[in-house]
Amino acid sequence: MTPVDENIEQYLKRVRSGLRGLPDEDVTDILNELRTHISERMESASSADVEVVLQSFGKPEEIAALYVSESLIERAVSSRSPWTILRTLFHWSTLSVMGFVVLTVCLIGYAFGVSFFIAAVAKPFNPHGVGLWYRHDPLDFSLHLGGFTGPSGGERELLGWWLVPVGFSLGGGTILLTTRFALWSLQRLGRSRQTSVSSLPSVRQAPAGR
Amino acid sequence: MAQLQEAADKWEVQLRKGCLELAILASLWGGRLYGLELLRMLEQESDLVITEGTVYPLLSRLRTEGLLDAEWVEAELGHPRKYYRLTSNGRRRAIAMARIWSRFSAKLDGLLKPVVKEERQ
Repeated sequence: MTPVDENIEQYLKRVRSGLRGLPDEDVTDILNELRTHISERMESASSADVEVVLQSFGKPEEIAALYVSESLIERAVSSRSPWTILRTLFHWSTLSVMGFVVLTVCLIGYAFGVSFFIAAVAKPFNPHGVGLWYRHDPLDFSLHLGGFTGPSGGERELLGWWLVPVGFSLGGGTILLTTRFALWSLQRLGRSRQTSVSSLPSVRQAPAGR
Repeated sequence: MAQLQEAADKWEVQLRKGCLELAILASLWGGRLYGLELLRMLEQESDLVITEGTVYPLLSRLRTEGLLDAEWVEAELGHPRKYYRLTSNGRRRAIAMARIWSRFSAKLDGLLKPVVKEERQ
């Protein structure tokens, strides 16, 4: 490899590390396309300076980020899987406060839903250990979903065997609602990306005097 | 005065960005192009100068939206290139956007006539 090639590969490596999370074949395709462009630029100018060519090509991290946000949103919305959605939200949360808020809400929602679901599944296996417990005295009111150790002193069980159907429907419902909310937020984000000019490529002003 | 100019420049950049999607669709109207050709076309025909690398994520989005098709084509000399062409949805979108643009810009031109006249005097 010539030093120039090495320079280009170094640059593409930085793009590649920004593209983490995308399918391998997409990454290969993207890098091939960018490489073609850069090589052709190098060939077309007689005394092409690789630094100048790479600089006018743009920051590798910025280019990768543009690809990633588009493709992650697209995939999260079409897959509807909570795992993909959470990964996308995590990416979004590193970019904006709104993303962070949505991620927090969804994490709480999923945690709540999953706890009820697990409790409903575990109840038949450990009827005395698993339950919804509450303590009620004038100074201290607490409600918690018991683990496997059963109630602590002064606590009474709420729901009893009803925990199974209630847990399934409440847990499932919360997970579903959280997913709906996440998709709705992501779709809004996707739409605002399409219309917001800030997400478009950087356009320079026309050179003066033209 | 410098501040006024700066604000006007910022507005111009935003305006150009807003027109970019239409400009890309219109550039592909005459047939398939690869990335670098498209950039040259934009630069020559519309004064749109883009930081080169950032056009590719945009092309990729237009493709996932179903407005463009892309395929790798072996070149006789040199590298294979990835060519983009309009899909039928892309053509429809281009027509719709062009219609909106011409209607809007014709109206705006009328509104601007007195302003431009003032400037000339």
